[in-house]
Amino acid sequence: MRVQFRIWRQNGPGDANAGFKEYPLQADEHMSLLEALDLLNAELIRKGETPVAFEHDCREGICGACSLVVNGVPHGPRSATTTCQIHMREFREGETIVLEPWRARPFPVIKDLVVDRSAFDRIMSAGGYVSVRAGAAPDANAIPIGQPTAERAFDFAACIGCGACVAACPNASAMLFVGAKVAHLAILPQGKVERTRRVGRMVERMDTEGFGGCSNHGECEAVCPKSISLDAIALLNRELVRAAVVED
Amino acid sequence: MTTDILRTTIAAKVTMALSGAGLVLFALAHMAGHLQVFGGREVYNHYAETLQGLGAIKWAVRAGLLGILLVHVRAGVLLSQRNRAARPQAYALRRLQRTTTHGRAMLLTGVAFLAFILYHLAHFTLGWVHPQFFHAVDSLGRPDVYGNFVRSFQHPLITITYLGASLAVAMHATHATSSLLRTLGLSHGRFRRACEAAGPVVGVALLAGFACVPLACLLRLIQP
Repeated sequence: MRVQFRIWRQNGPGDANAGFKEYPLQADEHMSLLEALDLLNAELIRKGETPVAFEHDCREGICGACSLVVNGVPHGPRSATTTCQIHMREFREGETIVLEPWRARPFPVIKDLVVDRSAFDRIMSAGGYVSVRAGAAPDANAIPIGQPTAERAFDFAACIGCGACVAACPNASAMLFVGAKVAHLAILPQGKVERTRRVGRMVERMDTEGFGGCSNHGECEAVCPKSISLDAIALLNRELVRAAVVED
Repeated sequence: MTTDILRTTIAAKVTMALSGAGLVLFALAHMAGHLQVFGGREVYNHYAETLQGLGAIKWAVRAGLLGILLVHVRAGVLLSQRNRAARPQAYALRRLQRTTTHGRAMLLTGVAFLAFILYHLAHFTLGWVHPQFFHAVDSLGRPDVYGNFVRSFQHPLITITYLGASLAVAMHATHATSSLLRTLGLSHGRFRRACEAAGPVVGVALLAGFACVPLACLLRLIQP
């Protein structure tokens, strides 16, 4: 199948000549979108041009590295699916496929479609952990946890930190990400110990990084490849209100 | 190390939500009060006189409402400035999946409604904009608020202005009600569906309750 890629090219942060460039490609419908980009890059290298920089790692939808806004939707046309799991059969013959990087002040473009998401790492360093030694895998069973609680915590723990929530939010808010981390840890006994301190520190870091606030549009939930629920944001708000009135 | 929780964006959102909740409750009470116009001159003028007779309580409520409104507007301005700054470069192409027209129009409907409040006060509280209706008295010597009210809305332009404002406040309250329930941490798990339904219910109630009164006057279903 023939497609036309329209790709954001940017030669480093603050490149004044950044903009879209068009690339025709003869691809196979069974290729993944990232494989089509690999093919395009092979052609560009053969022609002596600079290949398109894009992030990818596991290519099986679990690592959170891939990060493309495909035709105006973070992670592309399929719900609950990462960019790497999108195949060329999702597109029509001759279709123009627009690829843009995540756009948010705290996620500056490094090159082309690659953005710096270390703001998320700094939020995690601020409080997204359990300080005590929680032990090895068998020790997890030392504290009995009811199935509904375990399931609920796991729903939030499924977040892979890809940043699609920020990319999709009209305010570039990171509250679905921070909410997922805060809720996951606040629900479980190992995380409960530090819940008051944690939420304040993580939210403060989130604000310092320059993310916007939640206006409840629900765009984050719609694009999240792990279907993290907006409940995460309600729980984040609740944890912060709790932290304002409860001592650790 | 302690964190300053009250300075976070979420604290600003909670301020927005609490003040917004106060304004939504006031809007509902205000709407319910004015539906009494369907009870006729006696009922309505009695209601108006009772409110005016509250004296110190009336002024305390007015001051409280003004305070809540100022807090709400200030938090809204700060948050929306921050939200705009968080995405300096817009997408060339962005297909929104979930958001609604009223959700995206919060700032617009908020500003429109703020302008309307000034007109509304000048109309019914101060009597500046349509003084010809304002100073009449009824047979008991009370201010004839009913007559002022009904005659005002027999003018299509005045009615259209109020219908527009009803739509703006209904759109604003639809998104606001569901939104504030999430901001206050209530909209999750089994409560989520009810919280998300609360917005449209409040919005439709406000639109119907506010719009039916001027429409009834314009269509001469209520006579002065």
